[in-house]
Amino acid sequence: MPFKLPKESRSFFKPIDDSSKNKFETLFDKYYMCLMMGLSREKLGMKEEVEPQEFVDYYPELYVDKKELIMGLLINAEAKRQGISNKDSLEKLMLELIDDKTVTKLSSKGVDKLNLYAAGGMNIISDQLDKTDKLEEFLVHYYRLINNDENEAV
Amino acid sequence: MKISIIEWSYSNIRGVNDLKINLEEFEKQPYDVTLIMMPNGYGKTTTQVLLRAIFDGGAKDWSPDYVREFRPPGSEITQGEFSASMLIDEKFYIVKLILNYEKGLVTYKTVKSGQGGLEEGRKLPSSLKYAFSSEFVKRFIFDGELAKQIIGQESQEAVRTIRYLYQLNKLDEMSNRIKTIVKEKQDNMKLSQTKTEVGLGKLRRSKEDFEKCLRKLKYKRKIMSEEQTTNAKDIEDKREKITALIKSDENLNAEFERLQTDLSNVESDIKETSQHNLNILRNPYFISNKISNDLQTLSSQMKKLQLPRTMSRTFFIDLADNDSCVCGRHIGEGEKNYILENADRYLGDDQISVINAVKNAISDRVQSEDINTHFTNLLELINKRSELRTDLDRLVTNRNYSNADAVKELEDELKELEKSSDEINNSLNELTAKNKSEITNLSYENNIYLCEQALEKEKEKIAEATNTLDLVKKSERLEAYISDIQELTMEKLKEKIKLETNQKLKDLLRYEDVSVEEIKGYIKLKDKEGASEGQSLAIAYSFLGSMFDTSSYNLPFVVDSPAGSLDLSVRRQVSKIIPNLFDQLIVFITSGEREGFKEHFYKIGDQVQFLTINKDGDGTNCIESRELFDAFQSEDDEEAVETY
Repeated sequence: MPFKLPKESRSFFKPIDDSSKNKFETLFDKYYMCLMMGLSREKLGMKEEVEPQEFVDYYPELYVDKKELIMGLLINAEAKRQGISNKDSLEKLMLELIDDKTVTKLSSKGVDKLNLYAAGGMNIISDQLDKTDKLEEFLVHYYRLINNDENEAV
Repeated sequence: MKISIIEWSYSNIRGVNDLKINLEEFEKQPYDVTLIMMPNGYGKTTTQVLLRAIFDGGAKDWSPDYVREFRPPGSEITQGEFSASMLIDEKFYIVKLILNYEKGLVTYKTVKSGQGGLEEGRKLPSSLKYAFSSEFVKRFIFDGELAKQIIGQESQEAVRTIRYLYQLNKLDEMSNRIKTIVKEKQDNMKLSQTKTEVGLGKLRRSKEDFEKCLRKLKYKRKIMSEEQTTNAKDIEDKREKITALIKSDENLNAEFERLQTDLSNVESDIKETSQHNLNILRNPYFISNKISNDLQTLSSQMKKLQLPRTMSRTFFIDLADNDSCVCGRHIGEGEKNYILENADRYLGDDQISVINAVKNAISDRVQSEDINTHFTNLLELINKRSELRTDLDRLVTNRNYSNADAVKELEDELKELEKSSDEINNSLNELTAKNKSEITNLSYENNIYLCEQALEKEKEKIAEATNTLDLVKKSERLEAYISDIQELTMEKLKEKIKLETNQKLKDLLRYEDVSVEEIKGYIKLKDKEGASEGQSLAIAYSFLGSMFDTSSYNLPFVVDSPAGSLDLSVRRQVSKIIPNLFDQLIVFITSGEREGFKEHFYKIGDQVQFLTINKDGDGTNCIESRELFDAFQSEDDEEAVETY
């Protein structure tokens, strides 16, 4: 079950890749930035906004120990989005999103949802942040954006 | 291989019911000729069908309705049996056909001499088992009508008989097997569907294109690497020159160096801090308070709702297998089905462990540091860099040294070189990338790794197609050899059988000028448009006898109505011919066919067995008596005489 980048992500991050020696280490970093934004705001993108081909089908080493937290955030976002709060419905949702036999421990539906949240996050980033060729500037603005409500001071 | 039939018997079989027909003159030594008087409706055709089934093993394919047709009419009997005893190269065999009328099934059983009891199956010597196809067996458990076809001008029966008795059909089977092997190989081709030389040529051209492309890409890599080295050296030179020029200005040198060092340090700090901060962000728990709160809320909700449940799907599946519930109530079929139907609503053990891992991952997290501070630091560094750059720009702009123009020119050149270096680096990265994430949007035309992979795939396709085409060529050659062998063998056999047949005809029809000119699909006579019916049958049986003489099998010849509805003179001719052609001859005859046919056999005397199948109040009997054979009149024939 493959991870797929939001279509816009490659062009958005291209200036950083092109000009600087201070870069993202993996393509998954960019996916993750978009994903966290989407999950945090519970914002799903459209299927058409996701690249058709996978870029990786497992969690890279830097993220292997984060897969449970990402899964938790996915369950949380979906539960909130669907207005689920009772035990049976939450358990049913977990059954749909989890597959203990895959490397990611996510079902096909779970990964599809994750890709849509990444696309949703990309939309927020491209709407709110200017393109930059400097990683450090992106990180500062991104951190400010994702903590928008509470961290005006940064 | 010599085969003779010693005896056969029926039990609960249509027409005859229960009967044993023994053909022995001495123990395990059958008569050369047995004439069996068997009226119509007593099971002549049935006997031939069952004897053929003994030899060709075809009964296992009979339909249930066909099997039940062997049950005596009006009977409720559930099982019938037909059994034949034979000698095969001096060894005694009994093959039984057990007909289960209830299920409509036939099973074979075999007794072999010296090996005790009944064995399941038809256990003839393996060489016979596979040689005795139904077409082969038809040629010695013979239908009298086939004799007429051997000489019929439109017929292929003569050639067919040669094919089956000499088993040339096995060569056809070999050809078909070769075709099947080739087809299987072609169907199993995984990489391409190339089945022709033209297709293989296309694959080779495609491979050459990939090789050409790969050479081009490697050449490009070499050129770019060289350019990169040259560029790096040029950049280094320019920087040294600029530094030297600026240093030469004594007044600004110290300030310039200090600013440059500070800028370099800040750049380094920015890189280090931003990578550190990126690493912090890689932990969802630290990325924002909202996210960590969301995770905590989820954890609390799961604890509150007691998720995951401690009871898993496995618990209910196991419970359904028990006779009683943990509460002591009995679990019947209804309860069991209900439990199993609802078990899917529960998580499996493995799914529970995944959910628990999520729970544990959340509760293990402790936010011990203030993440904001890291980003405030990064922002401060960015601001500091900005200030240093402004100072440096101001210094450069305001400097008043004599070689300012030269420095400016060198700086412009340096910028160009750095830009060009970046472009080369990007192109080289594209050219040499191997990681899945890096090559997603690349193709074999701009990436060496992808081009090598495509070339390798093409080579594998060529290897597979070459193998298959090689097999096709060899199989075609082998099939041509087989076809030649068939043709040559058939021609030689035809010639040999023709000579033998003519020799027999010469002996048998001493006063008649009849001989075979050629064996085509049928037997073509010499200098004759046609032959009399008697001559025709004489030729047909001589032809059969010749084949039996020269074949590697010495077989019994079982024939029904060999003289059929012929006139008396023809019957006489046939009766004189056929006893001399086969080592064991078994003839079924009716009282209506007896006249004209019997006389020659009466003359032969001791080597001939006369059997009459008769029905009386007790059932069906087989009586060995020449007198009874001679006097027997079936009801059909009596009626025919009366009508006449």
